[in-house]
Amino acid sequence: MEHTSKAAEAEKAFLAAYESHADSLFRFLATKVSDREIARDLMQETFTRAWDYCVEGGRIEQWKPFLFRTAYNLVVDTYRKKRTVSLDAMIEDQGFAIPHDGDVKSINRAEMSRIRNAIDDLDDIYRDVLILRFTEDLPPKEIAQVLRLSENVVSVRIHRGLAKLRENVTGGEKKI
Amino acid sequence: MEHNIEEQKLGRLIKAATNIELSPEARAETHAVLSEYLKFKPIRKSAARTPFSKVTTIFTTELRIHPMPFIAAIMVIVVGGSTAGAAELSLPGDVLYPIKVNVNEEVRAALTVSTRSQAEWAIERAERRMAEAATLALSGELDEETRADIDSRIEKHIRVAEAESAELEAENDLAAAAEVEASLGATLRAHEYALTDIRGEIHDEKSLEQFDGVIANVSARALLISGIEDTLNSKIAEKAEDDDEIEGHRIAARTRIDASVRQLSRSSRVSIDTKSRAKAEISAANDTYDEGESAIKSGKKREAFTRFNSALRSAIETQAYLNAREKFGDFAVKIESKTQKNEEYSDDKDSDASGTLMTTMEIGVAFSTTTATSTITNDSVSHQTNGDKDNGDDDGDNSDSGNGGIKIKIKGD
Repeated sequence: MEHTSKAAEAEKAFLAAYESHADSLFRFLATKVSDREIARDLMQETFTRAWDYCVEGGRIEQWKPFLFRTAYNLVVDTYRKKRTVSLDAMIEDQGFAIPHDGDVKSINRAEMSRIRNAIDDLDDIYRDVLILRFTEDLPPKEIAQVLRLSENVVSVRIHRGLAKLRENVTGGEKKI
Repeated sequence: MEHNIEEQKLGRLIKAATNIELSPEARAETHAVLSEYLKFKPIRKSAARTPFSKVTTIFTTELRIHPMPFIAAIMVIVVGGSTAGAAELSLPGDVLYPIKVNVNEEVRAALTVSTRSQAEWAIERAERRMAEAATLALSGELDEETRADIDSRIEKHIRVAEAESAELEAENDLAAAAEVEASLGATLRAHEYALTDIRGEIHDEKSLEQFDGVIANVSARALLISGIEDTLNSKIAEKAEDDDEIEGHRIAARTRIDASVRQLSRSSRVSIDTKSRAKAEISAANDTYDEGESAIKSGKKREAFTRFNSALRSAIETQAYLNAREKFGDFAVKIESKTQKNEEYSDDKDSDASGTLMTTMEIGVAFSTTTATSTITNDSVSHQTNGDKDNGDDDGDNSDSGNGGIKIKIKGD
C-alpha cells in the first residue's frame, strides 16, 4: 500500500516536472543544437532518463537543475555535429513567435537578427551560461550544477559573456 | 548601478532573442508517450541503484540518442507492457520474436524524429541481429532458415541506415552523411572481428556453418560500406579549405574522442587487453587532433582538415570496437567452459583472477545460464576494474543507466 502511494507520488512528480520544464528544456536544447527535431528527440530522452533514474531508486529533489544537467550531458555525449543553422534562421524558418515585452518590444526585426547572430558568435562556454541565466532564469548556483562548474566560474563567465555579447552586438561601434 | 541596468537590458534581449516555443501538439504528443513510458516501466518495490542494474543489460552505451525510447506507447497499447517487455528478450524462433522486431522496434523507429537518430537506430538494430545470431549459434540452434531471416534483416537495417545517410547527403550535410557511414562501417568491422572471436566456442557443426555465413555477409557489407565512405570522404575533401567544415570536423573529432574516453571509463565488462587497445587508439586520436590544432595555427587549412577528419574516424572506430566488445563480453556460455577457459588462460596470462575472468569474458566465452550468475560475474569484474566513474555519482548523470538494453539469454538452459 505504502509502495503504491510512493510510486503514484513519483509519477505525479514526474508528470508535474514535465508540465513545468518541457518548454524550457526544449528551448535550451534547440538553442544548443539548432534543430527542432533533434531538440524534441533529446527533450523526450531527457525525461525518459530522469524516469529511469527514479525507477532505479534515485530521488530527484530539484527537478529543474537535474533535468538541465541530464539534457546538457545528452548533448555533450551524443550530439556530434556543429550547428549549421543559425539561431536566427532556425527561429525565423520555423515560424516561432517572439513575444516581446518592456523595452525589448521596440526592437525591430533587423536588430533582433543582429542580437541572435551575436549570441551565435559567442563561444559555447559563454553562450551556455548566458542562455541558462537569462533565458531560463537559473541562478548561478544551479547553472554550476548543470555545467559541473564552480559557482565562481559561472559568475565570471556570465560577466565576460555579457561583455563579449555587447561587443558582438555593437561591433565596436554602437553601444547598447 | 548604470552597469547593472545595462546587464539587465542585455539579459532581457537574450531572453527575447531565444524565445523558442514547443508547439502544443508536440508537447501533448511527448506527454502521451511519457505517460505510457511510466506504465511500461513502473517503479517496483525495493527499487535501488545497485551495480547490478547496469550489468544486467547489454546495450549500455552512452552513444545512442535513444537508448530505449518510446517503445512503451505501442507496447502497452498493442500487446500489453509485460508482453512487450518480455519480447525484448526473445530470439528468432521464439513466439514473441515477431513482436520484438515488428512491433517494438518498428514503433521505436516510427517515433524517432531526426534523420540522424533514425540512422543510428537502424545501425543498432543490425547490431541486435548479429547478437541474436551469435546467441543462437552458441547454443547450437542457428539453422539455415533462421540464418537467412537474420541475414535479410541485417541487410534491411543497413539499407535503412544508408538511405538516411543519402538523405543527409541530399540535404547537403555531407559531414553528417559521412559520419553515419563511418559509424555503420566501423560497427560492421568491429562485429566481424568480435563474431570471429567467438567462433571457437560454437561446438555445433551446423550452427557453426551458418554462423560463418553470417560473418561472411557482415564482412562483405563492411567492405562495400568502406567504398561508400571513401567516396563521401573525397567529396568532403573538396571542402577542406572551408573554415566552417574545418571547425565542424574539429568539434566532431573532439566530441567523439571525449565520448570514447567516457565510454572506456564505463566499460566494466571488457578485458584489460581491450582497454589497452582502446586507450592506445584514443591516445593516437588525441595526437592527431593536436596536430590538427597546430596546423590551424600555422594556417595549413587542408592539413588541419585531414587531421581532424582522421581523428574523428579513429574515435568512431574506437567507439564501435568498445561497443562490440561490451556486448559480446556479456555472452553466456556454460560454467564449465568458463572454468576451463580460466584454467587455460592462467597458463599464459596474468594469474590474477580478475584479469583471467575478464579475458575469458572478452573473447566471448561466455557464461551465465542464469541472470544471477551473470550478475555476480559482472559485478565482480566491475569491482575489480573500478573503472566506472559514474558509480556513486549521485548528481544526476544517469546516462549509462542501462536503459535500452536487451538481455541475451541462452535458450534451453
